[in-house]
Amino acid sequence: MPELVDKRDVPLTASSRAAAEAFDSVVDDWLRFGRNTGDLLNSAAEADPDMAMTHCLQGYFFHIMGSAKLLPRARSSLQRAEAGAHGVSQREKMHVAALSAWCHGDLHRARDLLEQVLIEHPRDVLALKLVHFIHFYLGDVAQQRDSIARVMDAWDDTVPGYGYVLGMRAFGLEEAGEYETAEALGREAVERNADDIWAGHAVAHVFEMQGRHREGIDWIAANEAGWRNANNFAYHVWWHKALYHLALEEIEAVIDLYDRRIRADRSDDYLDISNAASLLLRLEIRGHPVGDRWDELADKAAARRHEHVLPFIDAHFMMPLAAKGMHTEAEDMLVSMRAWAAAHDDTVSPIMREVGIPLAEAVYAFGTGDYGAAVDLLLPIRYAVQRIGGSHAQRDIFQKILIEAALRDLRAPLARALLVERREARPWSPAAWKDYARVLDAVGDAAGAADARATADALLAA
Amino acid sequence: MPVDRRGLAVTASGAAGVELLDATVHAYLSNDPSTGELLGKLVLEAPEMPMAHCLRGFLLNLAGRARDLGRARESLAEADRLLAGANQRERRHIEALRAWCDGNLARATAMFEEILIDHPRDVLAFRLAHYLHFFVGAIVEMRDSAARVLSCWDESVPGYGYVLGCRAFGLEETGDYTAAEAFGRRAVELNPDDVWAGHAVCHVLEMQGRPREGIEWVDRHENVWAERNAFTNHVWWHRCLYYLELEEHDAVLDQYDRYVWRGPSDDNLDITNAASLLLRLDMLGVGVGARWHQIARIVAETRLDERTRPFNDAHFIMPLAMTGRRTESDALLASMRGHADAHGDEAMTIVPTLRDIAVPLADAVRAYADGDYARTVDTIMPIRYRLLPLGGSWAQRDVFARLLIESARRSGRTRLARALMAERTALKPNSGPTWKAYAGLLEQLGDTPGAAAARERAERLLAA
Repeated sequence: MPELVDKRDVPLTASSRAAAEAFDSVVDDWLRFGRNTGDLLNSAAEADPDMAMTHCLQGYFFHIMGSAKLLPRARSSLQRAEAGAHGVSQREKMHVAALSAWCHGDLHRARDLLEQVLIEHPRDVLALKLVHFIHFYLGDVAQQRDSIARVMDAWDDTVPGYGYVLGMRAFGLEEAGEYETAEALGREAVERNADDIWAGHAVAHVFEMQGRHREGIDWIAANEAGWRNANNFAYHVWWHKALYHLALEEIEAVIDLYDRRIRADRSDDYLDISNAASLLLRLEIRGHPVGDRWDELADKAAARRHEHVLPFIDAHFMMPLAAKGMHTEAEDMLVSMRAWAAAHDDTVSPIMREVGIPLAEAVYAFGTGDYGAAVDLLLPIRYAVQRIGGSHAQRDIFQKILIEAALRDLRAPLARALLVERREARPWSPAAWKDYARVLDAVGDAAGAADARATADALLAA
Repeated sequence: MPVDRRGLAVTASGAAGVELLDATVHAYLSNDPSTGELLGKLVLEAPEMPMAHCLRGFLLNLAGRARDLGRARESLAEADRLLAGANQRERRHIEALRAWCDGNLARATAMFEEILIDHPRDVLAFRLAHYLHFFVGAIVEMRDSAARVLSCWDESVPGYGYVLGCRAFGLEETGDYTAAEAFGRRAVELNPDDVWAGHAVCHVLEMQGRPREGIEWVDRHENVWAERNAFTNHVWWHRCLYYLELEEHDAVLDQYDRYVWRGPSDDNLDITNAASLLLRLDMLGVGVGARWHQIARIVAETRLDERTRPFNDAHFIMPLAMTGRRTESDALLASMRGHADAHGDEAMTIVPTLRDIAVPLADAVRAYADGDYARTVDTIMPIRYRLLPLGGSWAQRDVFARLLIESARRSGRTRLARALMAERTALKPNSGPTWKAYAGLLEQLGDTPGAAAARERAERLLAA
C-alpha cells in the first residue's frame, strides 16, 4: 500500500492519489459543517474500499452524531479500519486505536492518543478537530484552548485549512474567557472562509458572554449567507440569535426563529432537540407561553430516553418530558440513567452518576413544580456542571433553573445571593436585574427593587 | 445581645469581649503579627464567647501544622460546651470548625457559604470560605463567593476594603485581570496594610507579564507590608518572580537571601516559597550554592511524618530530592501514601488530591533531581490538567508546568517540549524567557527562521 500525503503533507496510506484526494474532500466538508460529508465519505470508500483512515473517519462520525443507535455501526467501522491497518503509518494506527478507545467509552484515552498524534503531526487537522470536540464534550476548557495553541506554529496562510484552525482557536479562547483574542481570531477566520460556521459561532459566543446582543444579531445576519450549505449546526447558530432576542425581550423574534429556523425540520438529532428544549425552557422561565411546541419534542425525547450517550444530552431530553408532565417516561428515563451509570465504568459514567443524574432529576423536579427539590439537587453540583460539557452559554440554562427555582420556592436570601452573583457577572443583563428586583421586593426592599428595575429598563432601552 | 462592628449578633457576656473579638478579626484580616496575642487575650477574657473559641480553632487550622490540630480540637471542645447558648450563626461556625478538624474541608466551606447566605457581612466566614476555596483550587467558587456578598458591603461597613481584596484575588485567579487589578488597587488605597489585596495585584502583574511594574508595586509598599506577618515573605517571593522574568538572576538570589529566606524557618509558606524559587533557578541552570541544604534540613527534621496540605508536600520533596537525601525522600513519599491509605474511607477532602496528584508530583520532582527526566514527563503528563485541586495559585503551580517542559527538553523529547513551549508562549506572550526557551527548541528542530523570530521577540521583551 503506497504511503502518500494528504493536502497538508501528513502521511496517509491510500491505494491511489485519487483516494487520498477523496479523503481530503471529506475532511474539508466536515471542517465547514457541510451537508455533503456523508456522500463524500461514500465516494472515498469507493475510491479505496480498504483504506483504514476512511473507515476510521466514518467511525468517528458515528460517535459525533451522538446517537446510541449508531454505536454498532461505529464498531463495524472500527473492524474495517483495523482490517485495513496493516502496514499503515504509526499516525494512522494511533487513529484506529483512538477510535477503538472511543468505541469502548474511553474518551480520555481517545483524547490522549489524538493529542499524541498532534505532537508529531501538528497539521493533522482531523485529530485536531476531533480532540477539540472531545475536550468540548468533557468541559475541559483549558485543554480545549491549549490543544490548538500547541499546534498554531505549524500552521500559516500557506497550509490548506488554516482559517478553520483559527476558528477552533477562537472557540477555545472564548470558552476560556479570553474574549478579545477570541473575537479577533474568529473574525479573521470568517474573513478567510465565509463558510466557517464554527468560527462564526465562536464570535457569537463572545457576544453572548459579553452581553452584546445587538451586535450578535447583526453578526449572524451579516454572515448567514456563508452558511447556506451548512448542515444542522446552522440551527444552533439560529439558537444563539434567539438568545440575543430573548435577552432584549423581543419575544416574537424568538418564536419566529424557533418555528422557521431552529425547528425547521423537526429532526430528532440531539443538538437540534437540545437547542429547542433549552430555548423553550428559557422562554417559560421568563414567563412567555410556548403553546404546544413541547409536544413534538417530548415525543422525540421519549423515544430516545434510553440512549445515554452524554449527560448533557440526557439533561436536555428531560426538559420536554418534564414540561409535558410525562411522569412515566421521565421516571423511566431516570431509572435507565441510573442503571446505565451502574453498568458502565468508562469516561462518562462517573460524570453521569455525579452530575448528569442529579441534573436530570433537578430538571424533572423543576418541570413538575417541586422547586425546593430542584434547588436542593442543583446547589451541591452547580460548580460541577461544567463536567457535562457543552458551552457556558448552553449550560447557563441550569443556572437559570436554579435561580428561578430559588425564587419560586421563596428562598429569598439564597435567591438574593445568587442574583447578586449573576448581576456581578452579567451587569449588562436586563433579566438579571429584573430577577434581582423580584427578590428585593420579596425581602421588602422596595427602593432597591425600583432601582434594579430602572437599571433593567435602561439596559433594554439602550 | 451585643453586636459586632458589622451589626452581627454575638453571644457574649459583655461589650468588651465583642470589641476584643472585633479587634482580633481585624488583625487577622490585615495579617497583623499581633493576631496571636490578641487571640490569646480574647480566649482568656471572654471564655464564655462561642466565637472566641471558634476563631482560635479556625486560626489554628489555618496555621496548618500537625501540632496545632490538637489545639484546634481543644477549641472545638470549648465551643461545643457553649453550643446550647449560641445563636444559629454561631452554631454553624461550630459545625464548620468540627468539619475542618475532621479534615472535611468541603463541609466546612459549605457551612461558611450557608452562613453567608443569611449573614453576608460575616467577614470571618467570608474570609475563611475564601481561603478554603483557595486551598482546594476551587477558583470559580472563590470568585463567586465574593460576588454574592458584595452588594451588602460599602465603605460605611468596617472591613469593606478587605472584602474588595478577596474579590480581586478571586477575579485574578479566574483570569479577569482588568477587574481584579482595579479591585485590588482600590483595596490597598482603602487599607495600605491589606497585604492580601496587594498580593492580588502582584498576581495580575505576574500573569500579564508586567515584571517592572510588579517590582515597583512591591517596592512602593515595602515599608508598610514589612510590618505585617509572615505572609509578607510570599510577596517578596513574588518580587523574585519578576526579577526571574527579567533574567536578573543575581537579583533573585540576593532577594532570596535578604527577603524570602532570611534564616531558618519552619513556616509552611516560607518553605514552599523558597523551594519553588530554588527549583525554578535550577531549571534555568542557575547555581544556588548551599541554599537547598538549609531547607532540606528543616524539612527532614519536621515534615517527614506531617501531612496537612498536598500542596506543601509536593514542595517538601524538592529540597530532599535536590540534596539527594534518598532515605528522607523515601520516608516522605511513604508518609504521603500512608496518609492517603489510612484516611481513604473518611470524608477527608485532601485525600484524593494527595493520592492522585501530590504523590505523582513528588515522584516527578524526585525523578527530575535524579536526572530521570523521561520519568518526570511521563508522570506529569497525565495529571497536568488536574493540578487545580492542589490549591495555591496559578503562579505557584507554574513550577510544575516548568518542570514538565524542562524535563521534556532534557529527556530529548524535543517535539513535545516544542508543543508545550508553544502553548506557553500563547499563555505568556509577554514573557522574554519563554520566547527564548522556545527559540532554543525550534533551533534544535531545525527551524532556524522560526528560532530567529522567537529570539528577536525575546530580546525585545527583555530590553523593554
